[in-house]
Amino acid sequence: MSGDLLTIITKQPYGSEDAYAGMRLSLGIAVSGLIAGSAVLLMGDGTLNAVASQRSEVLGMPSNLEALQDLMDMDVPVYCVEEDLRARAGIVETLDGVTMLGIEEVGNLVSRFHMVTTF
Amino acid sequence: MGTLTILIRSGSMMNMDANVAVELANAALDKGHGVKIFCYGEGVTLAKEGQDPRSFPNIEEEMAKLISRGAEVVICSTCSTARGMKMGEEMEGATVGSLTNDLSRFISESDRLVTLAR
Amino acid sequence: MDRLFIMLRSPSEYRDLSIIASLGGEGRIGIILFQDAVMFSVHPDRRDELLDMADEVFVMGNDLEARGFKGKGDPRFRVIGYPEAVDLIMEGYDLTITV
Repeated sequence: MSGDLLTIITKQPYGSEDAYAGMRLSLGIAVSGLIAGSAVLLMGDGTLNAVASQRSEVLGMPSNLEALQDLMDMDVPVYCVEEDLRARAGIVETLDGVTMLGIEEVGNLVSRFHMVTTF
Repeated sequence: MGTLTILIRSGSMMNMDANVAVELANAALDKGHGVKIFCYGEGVTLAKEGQDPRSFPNIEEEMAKLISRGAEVVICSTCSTARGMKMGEEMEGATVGSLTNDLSRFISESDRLVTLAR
Repeated sequence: MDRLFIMLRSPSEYRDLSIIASLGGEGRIGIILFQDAVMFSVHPDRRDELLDMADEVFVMGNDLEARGFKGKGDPRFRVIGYPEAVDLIMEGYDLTITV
């Protein structure tokens, strides 16, 4: 295995397919057996993907929450910038297993990866 | 020389991202780099056969030139099926593939990744 | 680790540039402006804001010329073509991040 990829998600759930597509991309990379590391970072509006009380079924959309759970079930780390979420929604319950990061820790996280893609 | 993977998520006529992909790929090939293009989401339309824009650049023709120069082009199977693009509707030289088999291989074989999307 | 940011959208679509600082880290920060983003180089209010984010900012000459601003961008933005963009991506920086 070689290479690694950090998938940064900056888009809200359900407004577009971007966030879901990013999660699926990260999962596809993780299960390939070809890549040493895959992780997801939720930033900006993307932090709203971690909100635990989502109910995508009212829109007939696939669940971004389940997509995040699928990642963590495959040992793909999911990070969320705490300040960004708080700035958008106050204090809300997030999906168990999502690691909250301070904004000052994001640069160091990026340093651990050789490739980055954004959604 | 290295290898550049371009991950494109914009459609061929959505905006000019496809043109940037083509220009970057050509310049990379000119310098002797390898080029791999993975078309994801709306990006699968870059490699759809039969594009015929009246005024704007024909991305299919530009992609065909890239393939003839050695670029590898793969389109996401799930994304193309979702958009009603059937097997065989991809342009000649492009392959229908997957994140797991193809984008992962591209990443493992490349030195740099450029994402083109809005 | 030196990071090269790619920007494609109009200045008015980037309400907040802090994502560049957040993702930046300790190495050099470069930015290439493609397409509508080239208008940062002539924007009276936003060009300094962007320049403050990076060690160097590059602007695609063809996109600037197509919009009628050849030679009219702030000289602190370095006008380049695709061959130079490839060199920056493949050799000048360690990774690219599209924002």
